[in-house]
Amino acid sequence: MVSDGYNWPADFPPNCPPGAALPADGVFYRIIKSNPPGLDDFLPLYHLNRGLAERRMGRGANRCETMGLSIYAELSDAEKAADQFSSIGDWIAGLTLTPVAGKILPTPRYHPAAPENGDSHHTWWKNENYDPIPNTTMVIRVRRT
Amino acid sequence: MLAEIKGLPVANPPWRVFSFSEVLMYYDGPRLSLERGPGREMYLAWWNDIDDRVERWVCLPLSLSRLHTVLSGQMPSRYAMQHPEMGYLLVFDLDLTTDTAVRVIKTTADAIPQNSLPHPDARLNIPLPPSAQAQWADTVAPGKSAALAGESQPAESLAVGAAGNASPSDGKAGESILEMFDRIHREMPEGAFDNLPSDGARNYKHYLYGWPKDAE
Repeated sequence: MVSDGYNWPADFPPNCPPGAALPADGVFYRIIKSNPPGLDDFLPLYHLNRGLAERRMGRGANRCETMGLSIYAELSDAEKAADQFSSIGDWIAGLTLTPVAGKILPTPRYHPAAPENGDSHHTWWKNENYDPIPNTTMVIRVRRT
Repeated sequence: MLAEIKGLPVANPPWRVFSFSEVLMYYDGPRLSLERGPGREMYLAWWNDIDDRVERWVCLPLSLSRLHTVLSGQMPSRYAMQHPEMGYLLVFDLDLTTDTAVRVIKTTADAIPQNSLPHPDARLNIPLPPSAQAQWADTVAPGKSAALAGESQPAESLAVGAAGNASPSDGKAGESILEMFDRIHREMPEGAFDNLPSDGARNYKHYLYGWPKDAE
């Protein structure tokens, strides 16, 4: 499905990414399971585990969200999330995203109407043909006990 | 395959009777949420782990005041799990495809793989959701929930005030402060003080906020 010059996966629902999403631009951080990063580290939940995505849709997520990837604009927010949920992944990848990577939208979970008061969580809808691995600029290990 | 959790199996998994309330942290899906039990008791639920069949959540029953302490970061998340107000945690293993609880274990943090818990220094920094204030300001701290114990009496019959105390509106006109303390004490659930530390007064900042203990 081609839209605005982007090639979105065919199963994206209508209006996904949302109209408010903007072309990706900047440095972002994503928690990953492997170092070096693998393709699975950049698969949205819907494509990684559709059953789980369907289940989460009933618990505060919508389908379009499950087709996006969680990233943070601030490294410290990524570290905090990795600290709370050890099983998400042991590594944090730094990514330099440019508009060809897809579209992003600030999606802080609390105070969503005022992103400046929330965390730096963003949702990234990846252009289908974009390979983030060559654009991973750093990988750091998360502290573990 | 997820590690086996030792504890007391809950006969009738109550996940279905939990009312999902609010997602507090999201990362490729909800990871931290507020849940409401059948007696309107409150649980803070951490996503814990996953394998190819089930997803595991750790649910901490807590009062509104403890919720505030944990969400504000005054108390580290792991410490809150290790020192639950009611003396237990609930571990839910949810089938990935059917959204049903395949097992629920009433347990303690010691029984959960330590490397799957929040880092010991990890603290949340989340504002108390207005919805929590609205839903729980006039309601209960989780006691020995009848639904969780598979018993038949209503959970409300075991309820105490929102912060583990009787609410001001429960006060009896004309009673002295000593009578009030005595009444509140009588209304506390059986065993509510069983897990209190013997050095609680001396080290209250440690138990409330996670500060280092005073030197012996």
